Amino acid sequence: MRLAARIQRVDEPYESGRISGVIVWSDSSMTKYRVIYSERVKDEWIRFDHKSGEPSHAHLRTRTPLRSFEAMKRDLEFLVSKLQELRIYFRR
Amino acid sequence: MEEIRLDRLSLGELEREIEKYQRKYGMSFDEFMKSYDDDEAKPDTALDQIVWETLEEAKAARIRSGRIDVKVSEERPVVVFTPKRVEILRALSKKSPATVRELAKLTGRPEKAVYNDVRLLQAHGFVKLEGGRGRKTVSLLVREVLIRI
Repeated sequence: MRLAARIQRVDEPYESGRISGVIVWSDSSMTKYRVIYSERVKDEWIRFDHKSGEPSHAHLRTRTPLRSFEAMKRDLEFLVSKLQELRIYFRR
Repeated sequence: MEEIRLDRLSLGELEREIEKYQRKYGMSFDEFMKSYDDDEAKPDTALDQIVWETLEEAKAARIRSGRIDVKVSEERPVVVFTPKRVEILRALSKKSPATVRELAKLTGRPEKAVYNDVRLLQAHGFVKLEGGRGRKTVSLLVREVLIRI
C-alpha cells in the first residue's frame, strides 16, 4: 500500500517579514520541513531545516550585515515556536 | 495553504510537476544541485529545492515500486492492453532499454506500428521513450500490472 505522502506549502505575513515553508508528510508523520522567516526589504532571512533521522539545523544568511546576535537569537527562538505552532496546526 | 498529494499523482503527473522546475531553472535536478548553495540560497530557491527534491524522490520510489496507476476514463475508454502491446511489455521485461528497431525485430512487427504502440504505452506511464530520430530507446517502468475493477 502506498503511503499518503503530501507536500504542504505555507506562506504567511508575520510582523515585518514573512514565514514561508514546505512540510513533507508521509501518512501522519512529518518527514521533513524547511521553514524560513525572511525580511525581504532588508534581504535577510533565517531558515530552519529538519529531516527525520537527521539533526535539525538552522541557517543564517552569512553575508548579510545582520542585526545583533541577541536579535538573531530571538528570531530563532521565535521561529522554533512558530514551527511548533505550525506542527500543531497541521496535525489537526 | 497549497498542497500536493503525491500519492494521488500518476507517474506522468509527477513528471510534469518536475518539468515545471526544470523549465524554471533551465536544468535537471542534478545540475541544479551542483550549483545550489545551501547557505546562501534565497528563500524561494531554498523552498523550490526541497519541493523539487521531494518530487524526484517520489518519482524514483514510484519507479522502484513498479506500481503506476492508470486512470481510464469511463466516457472514452482506451484499450491499453492489446495482445501486441502486452507483447512489447514482455519483450521489454527481457531487454530494457531496447530500441524501437529491436522491439520490432523481437515482436516481428513493422517499426512504425511498434513505435505507435510504444507512444501509447508511454502516455499511460508504462514505458519511457528517449532519444532522437533514428535511435529511440524504450525503457520499461513497471514490473507488474494489476487491474483492479
